[in-house]
Amino acid sequence: MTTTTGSPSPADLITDDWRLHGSVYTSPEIFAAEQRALFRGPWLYVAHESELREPGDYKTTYAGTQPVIVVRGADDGEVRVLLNRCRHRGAAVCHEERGNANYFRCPYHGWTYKNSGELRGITYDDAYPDLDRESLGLVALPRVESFAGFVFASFAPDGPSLEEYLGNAGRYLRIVSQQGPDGIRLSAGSHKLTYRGNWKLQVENTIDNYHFGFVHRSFLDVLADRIGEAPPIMKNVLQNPEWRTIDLGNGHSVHEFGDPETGSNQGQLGDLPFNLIIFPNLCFVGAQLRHILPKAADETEVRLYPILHEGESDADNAAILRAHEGFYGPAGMGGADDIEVAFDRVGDGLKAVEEDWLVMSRGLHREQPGENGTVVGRASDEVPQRAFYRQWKRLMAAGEAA
Amino acid sequence: MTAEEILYREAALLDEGRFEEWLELFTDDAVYWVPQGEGGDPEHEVSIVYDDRQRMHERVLRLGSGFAYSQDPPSRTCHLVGNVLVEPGETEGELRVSSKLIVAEVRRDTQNLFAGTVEHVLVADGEELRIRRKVVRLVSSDTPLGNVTFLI
Repeated sequence: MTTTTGSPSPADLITDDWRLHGSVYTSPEIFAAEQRALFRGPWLYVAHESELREPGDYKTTYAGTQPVIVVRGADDGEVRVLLNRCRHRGAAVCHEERGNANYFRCPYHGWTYKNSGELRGITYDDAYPDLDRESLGLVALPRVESFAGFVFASFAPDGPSLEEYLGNAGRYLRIVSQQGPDGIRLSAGSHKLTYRGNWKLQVENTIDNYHFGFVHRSFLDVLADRIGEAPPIMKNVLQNPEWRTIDLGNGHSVHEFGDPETGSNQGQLGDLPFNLIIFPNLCFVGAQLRHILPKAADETEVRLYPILHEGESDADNAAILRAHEGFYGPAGMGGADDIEVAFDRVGDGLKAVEEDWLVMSRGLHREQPGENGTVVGRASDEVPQRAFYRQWKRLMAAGEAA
Repeated sequence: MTAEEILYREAALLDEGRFEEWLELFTDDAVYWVPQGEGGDPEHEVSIVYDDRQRMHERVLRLGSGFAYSQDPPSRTCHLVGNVLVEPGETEGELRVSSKLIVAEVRRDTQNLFAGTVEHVLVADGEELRIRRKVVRLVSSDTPLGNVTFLI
């Protein structure tokens, strides 16, 4: 089945028995459709409030593929998300990753904006007798909301509130926000990774306990050397009924290591009590917030922000950094193997398109209904992947209809 | 070996994949640090690498495990060390050596270039000099990096 334009309909890319078509990862047309359907309406994570403590504090990041400035207004303290593009001839007005500024001045012709986005000054402006300056501020995303310190924005002027959108996932975000006695902060900078492959591969790999014993076998060897015996991770993955994957609805999912307040991955790779995916591109794993930035169908950037604990000692927070670096980041002893296998080698393989269907049905037969409309599976089941693609299919189909 | 020679020896061991011997160049209290970004403070900022001797041992163990996929096949590297300056260290018997490093690394049919300023703190251990501290400040450390799991 095809649409009138000849491209496959999103609904035809995922079968009822959970075969997924390889073009979901490789097609530039699907990537463009995702940018419209997934990144132009739903809530998108942009910042944590600890990055924007003082009036004028800003960071630059991306909402989908679009560069934005997230900034706390110098006058009113309100957080805004502004497109990082001068209204005159389009140059980015801010190129620093973070900082504090009352104004953004375009380097091209000197147009100046208040950090609320308002156009404040045009150089040599006698040449513009009739220009409507009020309409030429930096474009602000119409909605910005914060939940438990996590700031999200949406390109859609109307729609569900952030709390409604997060739904069952909100509880887990709150737990993340309470990791330290006085909360958390993202003040340690970030690891930045890039790979030639689709952004969804990194999302799917965030909760994929099935792969751990294979891709991370060398890390398990390191752990065995460190603790003097076989590490308990894979035994838990395969046998512990309290390790479970949950489809939280709206594309969000979690993997619990037992109690969501006190669980442990038992892998010495960071102490978050669960792995969490907030649809479409925010993840929590190890001790990090992972922000996945799609660039093209086959190009992705990932930023890993270690989550430090407010109210804990410098030594304890340094230990969080060291555990994170041991597994994650460009030189980590685990994350780099994911890039090699789960992204690069998948990319190599997906070029064989003669038979282009993948299997994403692991544990489908043993999914159980949970509380509040959730779906619960075993630790190594592909529940998180199906949670993601249920929402993906819904939004892509709605985008196609629009 | 002179201070300069130990840097060349280290580079040769890395390029030849002789990682156990590379490890032996370091003292038991050694630190091997590759900062991320401006990276002035490993206690408060994330690093690309911040290894004590135990973790350096773990890296070498992993590389030899046969299952380190990010190094299967292994990177082929060419370390070029230059602009070597040897100064007295902070304590008696220590030397502080600064140098420039360029590493060509080939993997997956692609050649990558890494460059930076390196600081070695060397300490006399009997007749030999050992490395107590190695800091590699890459000029690209704040850019999105791919796979940097080879030893730099």
